[in-house]
Amino acid sequence: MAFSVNTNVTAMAALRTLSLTQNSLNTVQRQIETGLKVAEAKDDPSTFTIAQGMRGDVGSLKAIQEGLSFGQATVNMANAGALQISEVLIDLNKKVTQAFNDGLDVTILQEEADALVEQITSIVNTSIFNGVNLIDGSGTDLEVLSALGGVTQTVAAQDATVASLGLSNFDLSGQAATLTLDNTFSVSEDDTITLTLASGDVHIFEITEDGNPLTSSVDEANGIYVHAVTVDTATQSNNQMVGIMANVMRQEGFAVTIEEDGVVEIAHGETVTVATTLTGATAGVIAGDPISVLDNAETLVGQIMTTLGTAANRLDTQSEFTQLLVDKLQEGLGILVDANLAEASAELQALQTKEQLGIQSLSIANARPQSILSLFQ
Amino acid sequence: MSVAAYQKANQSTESPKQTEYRAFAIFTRALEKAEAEGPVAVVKAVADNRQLWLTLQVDLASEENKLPLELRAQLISLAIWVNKYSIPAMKGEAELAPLISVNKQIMEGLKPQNKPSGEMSEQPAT
Repeated sequence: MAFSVNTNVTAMAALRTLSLTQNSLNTVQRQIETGLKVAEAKDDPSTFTIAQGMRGDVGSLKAIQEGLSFGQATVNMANAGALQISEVLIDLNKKVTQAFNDGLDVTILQEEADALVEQITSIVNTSIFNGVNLIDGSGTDLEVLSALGGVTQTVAAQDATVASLGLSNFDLSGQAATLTLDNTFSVSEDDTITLTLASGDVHIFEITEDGNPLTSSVDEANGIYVHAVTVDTATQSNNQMVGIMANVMRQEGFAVTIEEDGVVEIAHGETVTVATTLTGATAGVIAGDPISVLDNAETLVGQIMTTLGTAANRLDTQSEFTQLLVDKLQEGLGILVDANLAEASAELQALQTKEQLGIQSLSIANARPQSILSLFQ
Repeated sequence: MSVAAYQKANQSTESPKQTEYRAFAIFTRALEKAEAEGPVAVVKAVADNRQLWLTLQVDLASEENKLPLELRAQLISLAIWVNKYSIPAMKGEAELAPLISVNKQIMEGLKPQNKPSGEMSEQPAT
């Protein structure tokens, strides 16, 4: 059912009367009156507050609409980038799988892989809207102005760079590392697993009980990164803790496979070696596994897309309230506005508007004609 | 040249209607090219176009706008439609063609009378 939400004073009054006798219509009536789907604060406290604020101050509506519009564009831009990256990864995965199956020349394949990895970098760099890049790992969260009083929504910055996906120096003939866990295996505070990449980057994964400070020294400028593996040795089993450790490593772009015989394989786009202070864990080397590295990268990009998609939906929901503007128009104007044009009627409306604009000497934004100039930047 | 000076120079050489035509021309062109250029270009083009319409909408809704009531209402209705349609369009879930066609109609209406359209300035903004 299509409702046209106009500022119709008579209709609103009629609706008000109706609500006295028909309780069940209450919600619908309020939706029509306010253009909101939220009737009461308990339905959705955050959106209700926003709606309330909007009713109070139309002047700020433009800022909010712009804030949301900017936020949506930035998030969708990042999401579009992530989607393209995931397509490149799928492409790359197919090529590598096929080449390995057919026993093709790795040298030629390596060139193709390099080109595809470079493509990912260029996608990351171009997924930028008005100077904001949400997937380049720069780490600055996006604050979207979404309601009055400076209320913002935060969209967490993501990292889809080849480094974080484990694809820097992607080497099809690289080697992977193994940790063989024996019966004496145990985990204690401050134990470390140090993964060193062929490029020289060092990732230290440090075991820590919740709340304890990390003891390894970080030096990101020189490629030494420290990551916390937060466990609870008192309650968690070895299996659980190894699982947690694997997940932290995966987030950093390492493909981790835990075999049933207690061997943990750790692969990366480039050759990786491992050293550890864990009791009962022996470091080793194994042939690299580019496919699992690509699978892990795909999973990471998938997570980024989920996060951004959720953020986009949240902003979309808020932007539905922008039609509230109609409620605040002068009465004469509001009655004529149709806030629910369908695609076909929009094109028809545009056609009719063209005729009328043609005979007008005034510009559209004639109250503030300079406002259009500000768009040319 | 400062932005203010640039704007001043601009205003002395073209009418507000011409400026609007130019804005529509630039943003519509971007929309037309966007689908071929990929999702990143789509987001940018749709967002810019949405911003154009939002700017118009705010002016149209103000009491100082001198256009006839009915025309203002029609344009506001279109602005609301553009705003809503932009959400799926930005995500590649809706085609850009309807946005382009609506813009083109408006451009037709903005074209100055008694002047060949070839005289319109269409250099991209820098």
